Amino acid sequence: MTAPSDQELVDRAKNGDTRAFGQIVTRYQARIHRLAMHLVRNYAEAEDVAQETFIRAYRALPRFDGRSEPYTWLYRIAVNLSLNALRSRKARRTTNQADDPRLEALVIETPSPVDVPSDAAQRQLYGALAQGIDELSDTLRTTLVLVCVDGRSHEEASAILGAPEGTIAWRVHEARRKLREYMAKRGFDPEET
Amino acid sequence: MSQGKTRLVRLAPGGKRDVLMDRIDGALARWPVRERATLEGDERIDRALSGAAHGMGTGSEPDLLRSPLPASAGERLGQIPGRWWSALGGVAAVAAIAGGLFVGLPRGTSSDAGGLVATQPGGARPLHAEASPPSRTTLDDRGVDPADLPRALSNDRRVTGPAASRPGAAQRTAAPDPGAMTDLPKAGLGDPPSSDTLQPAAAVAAGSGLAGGPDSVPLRPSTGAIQSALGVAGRAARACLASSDPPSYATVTFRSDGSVSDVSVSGDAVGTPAESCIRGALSRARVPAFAEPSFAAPLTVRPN
Repeated sequence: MTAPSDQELVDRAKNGDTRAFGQIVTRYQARIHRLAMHLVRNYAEAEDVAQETFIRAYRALPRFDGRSEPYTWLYRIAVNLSLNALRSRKARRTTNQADDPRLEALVIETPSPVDVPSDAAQRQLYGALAQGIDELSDTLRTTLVLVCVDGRSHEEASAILGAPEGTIAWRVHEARRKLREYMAKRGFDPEET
Repeated sequence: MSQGKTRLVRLAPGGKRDVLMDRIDGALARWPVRERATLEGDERIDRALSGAAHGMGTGSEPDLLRSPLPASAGERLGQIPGRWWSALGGVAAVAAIAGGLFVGLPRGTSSDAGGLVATQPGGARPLHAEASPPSRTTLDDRGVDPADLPRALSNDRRVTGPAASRPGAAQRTAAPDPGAMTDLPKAGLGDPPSSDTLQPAAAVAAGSGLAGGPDSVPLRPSTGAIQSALGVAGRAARACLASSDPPSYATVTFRSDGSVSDVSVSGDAVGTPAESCIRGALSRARVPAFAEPSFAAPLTVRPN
């Protein structure tokens, strides 16, 4: 038996099947949380954003007309909530690698003796990447995270962010260029060492 | 939902693989995530549903369904195919050099902001640094399928002059940008691409035949440098005229060391005290040193 499509689940949820909506939550919660974590860069806030995303989506179900993919709709809500959270935060958060949730997976790992050098290098790499990403504007950062971290295609990112694919391509290009420049300055460019 | 990845072609200058870009792309695509230990499965679902049922998350759903980051005006500009920009940029460059300065540095123009007089096709918006969409193309940023990309509007476009359209002009301006990320103002949401890659107008000498070495001088002063210099001096010159005076015209000749060698004035100010006042004001203009023996820039002096 094949899994129901997103659209089928949404249709069922619109007809009052809360379990169907639960399946949507299960299907997307990790991705939405990960996206929010990369955008708001705070674990607790990302939890709140993910939570709120599904609440808002549930409440907006009657207005979902099916012209777009359900995941586009969820992502869009999550991005808007994340950006709202960033705006309401006022002062820009200074990145402290010790509590950066994006680096948690690296920090909590206990390196084996064999892996010590590579793990340290990985932490260094991701720490620098996180800082480089923080230097990007919200627009470039959001697009970069959607496309390069989350793996959305330009077409999908275009539908989520409401910008033409050409704009998405340019944003990704620009974000990667700046990131590369930042990393090169940090000594990660093997051509310059 | 598809998991389509962007097709990335990573080639450094000369067709070499860009190892650093490969590494960055690989790291981004495989960013490790900690397994979440809280609110898994049904608990999350229950919370979401109970939250929805109890009116959590007040606010406007339509607001949350809007396009989060639509293309800004600057980005839309950036999607115009590059060949058109090349052609239009060349026309604008020649026009700015030939006649732009004759138009003068009137009140409220880009002179105050240190920008250029060149405008976009259609004349809708001046090509200020802040408004420039995709910035210059660097030598190492070929990581996206060119077919997908709007051609970048390089800084060459704002530094007008014949050299701007010469082959290699873009590459000359693509020198490493020391200020790039850390010094950048953060673009707001929906802002045009950030201006972090832009340099002060006087420092960009794309249209001036920058030879490439740090100690080399441009063939002639860049339009940005001229405009910057005459913007300041021109304001002082304008003060020489009474508000009811008609415009006068000046030609400022610079020596290769960047100082003014001559100011000629024509128009109604000739023979009046305003003439010497204008000469004095404009003779204080200064541009960076350049290679040619001299360079003359016309300027319309309008009263304040």
